[in-house]
Amino acid sequence: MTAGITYYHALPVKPPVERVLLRLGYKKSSGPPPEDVVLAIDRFASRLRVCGAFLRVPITGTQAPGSVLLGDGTVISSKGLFALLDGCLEAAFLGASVPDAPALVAERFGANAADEAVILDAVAAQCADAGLDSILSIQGALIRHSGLGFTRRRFSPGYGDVALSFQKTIFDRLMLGNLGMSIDERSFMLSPEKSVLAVAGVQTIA
Amino acid sequence: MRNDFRNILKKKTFILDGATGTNLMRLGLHGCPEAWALANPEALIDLQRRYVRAGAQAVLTCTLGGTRHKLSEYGLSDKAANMNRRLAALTREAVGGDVFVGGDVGPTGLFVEPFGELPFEEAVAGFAEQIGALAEAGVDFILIETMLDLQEARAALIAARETCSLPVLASMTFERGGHTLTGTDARTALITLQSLGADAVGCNCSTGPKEMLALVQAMRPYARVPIVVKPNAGMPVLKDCATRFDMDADEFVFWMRRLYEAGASVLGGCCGTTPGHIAALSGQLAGQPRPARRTEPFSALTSSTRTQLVGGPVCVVGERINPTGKKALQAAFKAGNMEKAVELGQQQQAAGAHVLDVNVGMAGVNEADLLKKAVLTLSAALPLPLSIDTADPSALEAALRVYPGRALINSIPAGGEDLEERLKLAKKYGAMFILLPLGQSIPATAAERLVLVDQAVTIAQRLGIPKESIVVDGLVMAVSSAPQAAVETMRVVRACSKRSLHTILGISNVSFGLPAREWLNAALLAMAVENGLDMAICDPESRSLRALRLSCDLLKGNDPDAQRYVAAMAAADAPAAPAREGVYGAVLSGDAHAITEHVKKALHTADARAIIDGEIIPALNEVGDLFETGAYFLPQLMRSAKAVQAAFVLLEPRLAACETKARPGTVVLATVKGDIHDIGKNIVGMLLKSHGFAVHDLGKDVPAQRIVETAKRENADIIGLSALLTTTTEQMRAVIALARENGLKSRIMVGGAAVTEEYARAIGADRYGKDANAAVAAAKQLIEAGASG
Repeated sequence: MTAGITYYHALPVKPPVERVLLRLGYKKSSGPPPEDVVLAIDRFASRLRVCGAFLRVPITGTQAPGSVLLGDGTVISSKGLFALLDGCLEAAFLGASVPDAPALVAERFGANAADEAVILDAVAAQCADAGLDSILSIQGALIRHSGLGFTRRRFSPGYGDVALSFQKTIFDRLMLGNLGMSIDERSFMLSPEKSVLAVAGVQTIA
Repeated sequence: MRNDFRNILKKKTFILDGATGTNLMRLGLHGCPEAWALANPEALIDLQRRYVRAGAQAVLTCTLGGTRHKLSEYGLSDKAANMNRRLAALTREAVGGDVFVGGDVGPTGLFVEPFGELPFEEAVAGFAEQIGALAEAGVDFILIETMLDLQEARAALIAARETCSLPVLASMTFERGGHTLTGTDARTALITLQSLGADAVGCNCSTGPKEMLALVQAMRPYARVPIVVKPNAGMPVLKDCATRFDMDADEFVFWMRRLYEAGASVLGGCCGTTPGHIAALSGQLAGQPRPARRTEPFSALTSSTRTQLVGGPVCVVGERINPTGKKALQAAFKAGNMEKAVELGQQQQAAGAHVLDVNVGMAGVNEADLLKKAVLTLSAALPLPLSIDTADPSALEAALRVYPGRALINSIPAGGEDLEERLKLAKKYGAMFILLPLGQSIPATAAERLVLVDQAVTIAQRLGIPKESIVVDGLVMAVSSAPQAAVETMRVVRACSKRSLHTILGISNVSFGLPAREWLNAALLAMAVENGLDMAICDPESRSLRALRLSCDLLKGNDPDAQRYVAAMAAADAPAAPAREGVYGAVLSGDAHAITEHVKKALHTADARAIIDGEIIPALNEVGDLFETGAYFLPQLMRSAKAVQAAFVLLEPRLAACETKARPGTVVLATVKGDIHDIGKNIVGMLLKSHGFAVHDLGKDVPAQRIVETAKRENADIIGLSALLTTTTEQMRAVIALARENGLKSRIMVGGAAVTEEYARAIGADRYGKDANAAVAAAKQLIEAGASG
């Protein structure tokens, strides 16, 4: 815990096998996927550690068209996020990362096991997303008892009109250096590469 | 009062209160609910009195987030015990002495090992602190609720059992698909928690009463304790940009009656419910008799995600996670590495094992630590229930404590001096156990063994362990040294079966020291099944035992419509897909081992170039086509490339001797400056190599200058550039500009998630590769165009 941030050093995740297969180019029309690939997906999913962070920040105001003011002084400028956070009490910042993935993928490539490397890479990508789902599930169950709930959707920087540069804002608010993550100040690229950030809204349950 | 509570629970419906947080929210609740309630006691007292007036027989303390872990979010962890005591006192003040007060215990907000980072004992300690404070303040029972993770619910339940003697109700939160966040289904949660000693088990929150019906129906046939339901006021709906629970009291009660009819008897409300909902509920269902229990006995093991019933089809316990005679596994265990064990578990699961035996016993290790680690790792990695195989009681307890399910103990000697101590461990952790009918020595006859069995079963029952938790090992001895051994074993199996005790045999012991052991093993299994055998410890990968077991299940009527038999045999009998042979076939199937032999054979009749041009390249083209049509996907593409590289190890040294044709071309590959994503580039590099290109892979985050210098030095035909993000794709433009400035003739090919055909054209690239296969095709086109140009 740092200034209201909850850190998770090992999140339970179950990456959806069908999404991993999709990343690998699998099509349903090809028939059932090879059993060894499915087993490898399970095996790698159990080997990857997923960490994450969560923070709620009060929303203090909005300025049409498309700016949201947060209690910590952050200004979010995006029509998409404005629509998402409209009527919300707070913004929730989320981050998830799979720290060991790059080294494990490189190790598999180095060991002439490129087939395993690509599976591992796809599993890791889905694990990061699944990490965000896990954080929202546990936090959602807890805040529901205070009469609050998350918006159904969440936004990640780089999608819609949410600029990639917004990654830096989330990164800083979540103090993700505490999880060993870093961000490139120019390209806003996250390291380790299997990392994902998002914003969701916290609203009152009527 | 506490005895009254247990008695009411056994006989009648019991009405709990409804939501606290969603009602206090209307009165201004914000921030930490526990702290807010202490600062605004009149609001809480008023709400709780309204619940009493509505007919609630118990009101819960406002302590759902009262563990030190949860309170740490507000900097209040050191005040946890004090806050819980004060909140419990407030509720008692609100409801008086005639209404029960339940100490409410919820999740820590963290995930407990093996699914998360919170050490199990730390979770237990946090819950024990809270529950101790609630008990001290005089609550009548503990309700563990809103648990999203079975392991966290176990930690809270163990803490309650070790801290106080109050009745404990445990309720999980299931998501819409019927599973908790960590994948537990309702039946598995029920069996695990009731075995561990919960006085009632059920579900709360997340869904409305309608959606809980299926959960209660899944629990009822296995419920030996009352079922708790505390649904929300319907499913949350989005209305006017706000989430709402809008099920009114009448509809709520309509569904609560259905839940009661389905078997639930402890009834309350969760988020969105109000005193109005509870008044309607109490009016309809208070004082009703508890729904009749289903009384068929059953035995079941669980993992966190699966229930394995014992009895009926033969249950196979995979025996291979055992270091005895396995040097690689011994070395891995000594290094604390569990990967090999997970792999063995996966193999046995794929071969049809229902339960995995875990044994880490060997000299020079701390068995308690190692077994605990193995159990944590395997239970997080695999869905099968575990059989904990150790003779060391401290290792057994360490493993049972952290196992997130209902384990099988392998084993407890019936004539052992510490029989009672071990039975108490089984009872405390709700485990099933294998009873070995032996003492200082192994009795030779069935009669002697059965005396020991009967004595041990009597003691177990005195301790409150039902017969269904016991599995008797018939003790299989080698027939090579004791000709009557199998006959005596069969007598034990038959006699135990008549006593309604489950039985298990370690099958392969029978054939020790004899040739063609499979036949003897199979015969023993068949005979034992006929005598009532329930479980077999064996190698699940033994084809004969598997076929025989499936046949026995079918013939004994344990495989309705022969579904499992037909499915297994159809798979075994399925004609193999017509395989292409030789080098071509090995590339197609991605068989890096077989291809070496095929190449060696082919070299007797063809030179290296002919093999490459006549077999490998056409096969790779077919692999590419299969990828394009979706018949193959990325791992298969990579396997084929890997096989080709294995072939090249043999072919390359011979190429010089017969070479009339150069390599198709030289490619310099790089992920551009500022970008660290290189999986796509690595895949392209591997495929290009397998198509014969000379590839210089510069890695990731490579400056333009270095790319251009390398291309110049290597006289590259092609520069291949990769970038993932829109912010880094611009670096491609810089590389192209620098290459042109330097007068390089290399053609430039680009790709990556954020790159499009249009973008490639706009920055002056010569080709765009949408994926690795397309990149190879583009590289070939560029070379051909260069040659013809």
